[in-house]
Amino acid sequence: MSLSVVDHASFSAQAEEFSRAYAAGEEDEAVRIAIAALETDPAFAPPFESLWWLCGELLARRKHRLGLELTERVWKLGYNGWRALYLRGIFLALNREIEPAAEVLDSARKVAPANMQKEIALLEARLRAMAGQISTALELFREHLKFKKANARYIAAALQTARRAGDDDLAIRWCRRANKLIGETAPRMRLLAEIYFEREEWQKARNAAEAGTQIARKNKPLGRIAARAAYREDNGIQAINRLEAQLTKDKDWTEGKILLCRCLLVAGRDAEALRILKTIEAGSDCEVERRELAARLQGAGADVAPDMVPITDEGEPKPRRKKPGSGQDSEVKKIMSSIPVDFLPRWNEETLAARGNPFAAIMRMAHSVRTIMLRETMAKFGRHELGYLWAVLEPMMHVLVLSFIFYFIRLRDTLGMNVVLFVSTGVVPLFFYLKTYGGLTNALRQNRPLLNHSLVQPMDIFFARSVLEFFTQLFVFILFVSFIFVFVEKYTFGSALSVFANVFGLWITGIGAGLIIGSLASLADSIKNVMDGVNRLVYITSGVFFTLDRMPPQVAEYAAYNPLLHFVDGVRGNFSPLMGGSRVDIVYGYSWAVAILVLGLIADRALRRRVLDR
Amino acid sequence: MIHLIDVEKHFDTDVGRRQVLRQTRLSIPTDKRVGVLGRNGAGKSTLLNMIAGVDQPSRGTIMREGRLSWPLGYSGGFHGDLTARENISFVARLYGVDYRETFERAEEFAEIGNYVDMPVRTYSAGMKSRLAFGLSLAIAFDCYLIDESIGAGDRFFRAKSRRVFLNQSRNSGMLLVSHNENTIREYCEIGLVLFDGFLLPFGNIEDAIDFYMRRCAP
Repeated sequence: MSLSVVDHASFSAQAEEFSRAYAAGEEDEAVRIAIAALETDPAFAPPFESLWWLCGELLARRKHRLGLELTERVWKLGYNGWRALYLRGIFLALNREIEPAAEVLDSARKVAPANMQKEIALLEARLRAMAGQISTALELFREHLKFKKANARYIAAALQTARRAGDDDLAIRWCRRANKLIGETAPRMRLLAEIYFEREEWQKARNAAEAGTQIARKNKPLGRIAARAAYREDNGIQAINRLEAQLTKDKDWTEGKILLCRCLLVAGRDAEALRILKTIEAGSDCEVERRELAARLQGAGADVAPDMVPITDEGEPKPRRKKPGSGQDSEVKKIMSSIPVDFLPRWNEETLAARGNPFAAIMRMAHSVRTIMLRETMAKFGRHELGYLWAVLEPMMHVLVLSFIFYFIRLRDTLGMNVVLFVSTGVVPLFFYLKTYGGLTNALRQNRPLLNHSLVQPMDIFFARSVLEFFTQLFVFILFVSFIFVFVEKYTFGSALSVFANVFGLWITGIGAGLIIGSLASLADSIKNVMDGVNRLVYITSGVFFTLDRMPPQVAEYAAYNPLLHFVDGVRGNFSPLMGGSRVDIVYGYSWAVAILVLGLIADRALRRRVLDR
Repeated sequence: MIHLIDVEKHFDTDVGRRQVLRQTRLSIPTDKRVGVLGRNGAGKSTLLNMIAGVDQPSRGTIMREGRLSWPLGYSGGFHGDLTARENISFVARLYGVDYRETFERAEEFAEIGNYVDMPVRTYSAGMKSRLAFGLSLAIAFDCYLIDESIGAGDRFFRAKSRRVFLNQSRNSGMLLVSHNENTIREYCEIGLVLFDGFLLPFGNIEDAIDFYMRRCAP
């Protein structure tokens, strides 16, 4: 059956001739006839069954214009199936009528069978990209692109489209997928490297470019990107090596030479920089940079040719980013070696001697300590509702509770001394130690802001706190014993000096312990908790409950090692003739107290910076 | 004069030593307006804290001649349990200036009204920094140490503090620490740049800014 799109029209002679040759298998002859007919006979149309074959032949012979003529002709004759449209689109595209081609392909895709749609869509996408319809093209690629070897061209086009659409993320994703599924190619790696470079992800850019150069070793753009990225990555020596490697293959890369010069200058390798700089020809497109480098080299004392001296009216040199040099930076070296007159060291023997003036130092410290004490006093009033009353209430509670216990349980052990007096003369002296210790451990950290006043030194803070604590406890002590004397029991009082000597010993032990623990806490915070436990033990063993004389001798032998016990017993000896006793050794107590204070001062000196740095 | 006599500062951290200042031997004039430029984390504040005395150099000594302010723009110096009145009285006493006059000037600037008799811990951050700024202006220093931002608080307050400050400091020096080259350009005549642990001196502020922009700025 002879079915033809043109069977309603009369065959021209040429058409008949063509049909005969085609049927006889004389393909070359048939094509020759068809070409001649297409050029001369406006009515020529081949039979339907040979139509697609003829189109293929024309395509193969690159007779694009005739192909278009043929497809136009059959289209005008009313044939608009998907294949006719597809071929017409192809020929339109080949005749550089991109936009109409895309439109025709669009209609072809809509009527084509599913297995052809992808191919048509990809071609259309490529054409739309060429026509500048980026977003439509990108949509088509997104929908239809498959990553397989046969699609290599389309993948490349898709990547370019994504780039032009500004969707670098998509481009990167596609690059990666393509690399994974069909292997890496140099152009694709270049694209990837360029994207990363633009994004200032130097390391990734460099890796991509290096991978590309593995595929195409002589590819200059790829090598240049890799070298540039290495430079941007700021790896001094790595950048130098990479730039040098590239420049051996790529001798007229002026930009690379400039970059290399900069790296060498930063690394302090001025001589090599000069050698490279001399190989750059004057008047190239990097002239400004060249002159600027020359100026820097000249500044560093190099012998630079006169034509390289910078022209000042060329404007500011471009600001550059550079990695801070590590001691080798020549510019830094230069600045450090020529200090401007404003900053020249101005101290002399006299200035240094003024610091050692003890009188001035003591006056300053006394002033600062007094001021801080006033501040702390005011703060204490403000902090709690009870304010300073708390300083009295706290030992009072201790005294009341302990007196209660003593009254009912251990009455006879106080040797006839009034229980309240016994307890008061134990607890309150021990508070000289405990409270001072507590006040000093956190003194520096709590009062760190005070150090912003350059008049205040760390020692002032310690001093102010300790002195304040001493007078507070002294006040409390005097208050308690006076109260007892007036309202409870008239006792015989020994020496005020002896009492003072003993509480002073307790006080300086407190200062020493506070300094030691406060300083050591900068090494390990937990040391404070350990010391809290120790202090609980101190509370029990330091004469508040038992005096040295009333202990069993075996126990007393060991308890006597506690220096605080001697101080507390010593205080109490002044309030009852039966207390005190021969075993109390204030010299032993003071040996310890002084030793602890000295250790405290040493610990503070050694660790103060650590405490403040935390 | 602030003498940095072979001063060096580092911090030993868990992740190793951080060198903040390499050995430095300079005298910083206190009668000039000196700008210190450096990127964030370059150690500007540590330098200022060392000069004020909060931080201590790892090596070397800092000697101060003349009366230096505490670092301005910093409001941690107040005792939270004390009222503004009490805090001012402490500072006035410490620096040996007349309390009443200082209080009036500070109060006038800070505009905290009847809050002056409330503990400072109840203040808003803005009130606190206004008070700190007002107090430092109320005392005549030879040299003002200033950290970063001149003036805190709202726009009107900033404008006011700038005006007052410029007026006040006309006859005194200052040491202004900032990462912003425009601030430095506006206020300073000579400059230091903290770069890679080096404290680089420049006799001309534009040179300092130029170096900073070229080598330090991102």
